[in-house]
Amino acid sequence: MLLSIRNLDVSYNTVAGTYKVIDSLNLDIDKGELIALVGESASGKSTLGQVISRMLPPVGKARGQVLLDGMDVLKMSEKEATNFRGTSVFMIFQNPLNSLNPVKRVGDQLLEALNVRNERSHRNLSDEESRREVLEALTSVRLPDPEKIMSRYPHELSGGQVQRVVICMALLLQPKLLIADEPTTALDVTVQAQVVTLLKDLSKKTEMSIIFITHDVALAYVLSDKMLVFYAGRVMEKGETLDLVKKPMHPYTAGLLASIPTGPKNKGRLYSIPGSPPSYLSLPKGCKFTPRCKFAFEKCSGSEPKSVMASNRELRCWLYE
Amino acid sequence: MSEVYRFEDIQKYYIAGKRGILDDLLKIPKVYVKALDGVSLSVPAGKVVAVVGESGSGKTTLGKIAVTLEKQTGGKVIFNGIEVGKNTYWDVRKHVDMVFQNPATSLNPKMKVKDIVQESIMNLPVEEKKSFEEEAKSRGISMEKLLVEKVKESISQVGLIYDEVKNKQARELSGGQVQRVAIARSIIKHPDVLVLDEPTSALDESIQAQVLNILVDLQEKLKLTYIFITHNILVARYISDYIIVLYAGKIVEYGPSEEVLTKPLHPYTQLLLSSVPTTESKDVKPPVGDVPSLINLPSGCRFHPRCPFVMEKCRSVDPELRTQGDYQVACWLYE
Repeated sequence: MLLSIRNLDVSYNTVAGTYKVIDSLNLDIDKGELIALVGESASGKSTLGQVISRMLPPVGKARGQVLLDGMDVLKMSEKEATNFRGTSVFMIFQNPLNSLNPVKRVGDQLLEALNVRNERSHRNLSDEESRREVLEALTSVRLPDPEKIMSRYPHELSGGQVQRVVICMALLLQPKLLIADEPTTALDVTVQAQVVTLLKDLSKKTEMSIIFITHDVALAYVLSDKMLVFYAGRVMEKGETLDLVKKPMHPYTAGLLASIPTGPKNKGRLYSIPGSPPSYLSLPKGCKFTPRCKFAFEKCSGSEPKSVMASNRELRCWLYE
Repeated sequence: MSEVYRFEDIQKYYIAGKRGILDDLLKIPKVYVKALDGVSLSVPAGKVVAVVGESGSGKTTLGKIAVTLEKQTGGKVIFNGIEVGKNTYWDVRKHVDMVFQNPATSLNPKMKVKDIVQESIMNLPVEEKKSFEEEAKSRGISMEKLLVEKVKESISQVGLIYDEVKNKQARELSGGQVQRVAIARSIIKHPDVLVLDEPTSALDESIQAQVLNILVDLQEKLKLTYIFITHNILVARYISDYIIVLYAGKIVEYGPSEEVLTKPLHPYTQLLLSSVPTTESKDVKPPVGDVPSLINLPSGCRFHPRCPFVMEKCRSVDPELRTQGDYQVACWLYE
């Protein structure tokens, strides 16, 4: 088991009070597994990514156990965490330009990443060898003219190219777990498809596990083996991607899938989940999805359902108790 | 079928980089970014035309030219039989409105919802406002009262409750609600055409479905014509009657949506469609390479460096848009 999370609670302390953004989450990830976290904005999916990579802002408090490769992430000192980032866990963000230094050449930044890995794994490489390895990595993320790319600054590249440079950096560091937080939202669909196939290939080749955070269920379906559906900080449904998409059991998952347009408008109106996601400051009582759920009954607004196993997946819904 | 808009050979060239007086004196040749390069198109009345393409393909520029926010550098725009020029801007602006991608930045953060919505009538020039004043007079009510009525009507048409939102500011509303306010602002003056620039891409999926349903209802009820700009092909398929596929400033394919999306002719459209993730297939097949720079466009057909079916002819001669019935495609494969 590469990553195992037990009873994780995350809460934010603000002037307006304390609110829980993740509620008792359990998750296991094996080597080479592709996991997708799906949900609307502010459903807690990015927060989970931040917890695993120890990048939670200071107002956030995480309780529970997060074991990555045998180390407890939450109990690490800041110094240990610095050593752990990069080679154990690597994170890709939505805006790739923010993750590169704007005044350093791409090549130098990639060499720096490679040096970090060499230092940690006690490898000795000459400058020439390092350079060759960077060039190889750039070629494998299908960037044309790697020599030229190395001497460019980040702003001289297109969005898709920068994102590939960041993925190339991940390739050089060879992390055990890659967290990709909406890595393709700022990109065009053709570039998105290129990046997604690249990530899939990489994971197959290097046995790297990937946590893919997205709001696009269809994209998550293409990429992942396992899927977690988030709503208001709760994992509403968790299971194999194929089953989950073909036969959604939780009313929220079903609604989310039905609201993706698939045909023309004359084939019937688009299903839309009524209302909008709740604010964490005034969460409804009981199941958090009750006010928008079409199957809601008395019990739903009374108390919150716990995660239970139903057929082949984990669900948080009174319909399956 | 009547047409609202006709674009004839529209070109929009921007000058790249800064140019000082020295550059002009030394006669250094100007470098152009060709955002749109020879786009001809007719928009039928009462239909939804979706414009799809990657970023930098000229979708938004086309929309901005349609609402007179930008002026084309070449070619003609004809709106309802009138050629659009300096003296005829208001003939267009009175009948056309635009909804932008990010509602949070297109609405004034300091104004109340009711003021935002009525502003679109208040800001018309005096002679254009006359028709509303006459309406008020003939019904024997004051202009203020008529405005309140109109605001109420358009806010309820987008599925919001007037009394709940009238005194709120944009920041007090959720993303979906703000976009609805933006739509209400556009429909209050009873336009014929709405140009919608990525109206749902900043929204979550469940909210996107709500807004799309409202847009479809409004289009039918008010007999509007939409120019719907989007990069989301599934949304385009759902809402549109016709689809235009733009690539690097040129139309590569234009036709009835179902035909374009189920039997695409142009290789670019085919690859664009196979890049869209769906819950039908676990695979996506994107085209290789990147979009070309709009300054140094490839010779011949713009798509030839990425095209899997490239021929000798494609490298040297640019194919023209060939019309067959109501279907148009620009590719040498179909000559």
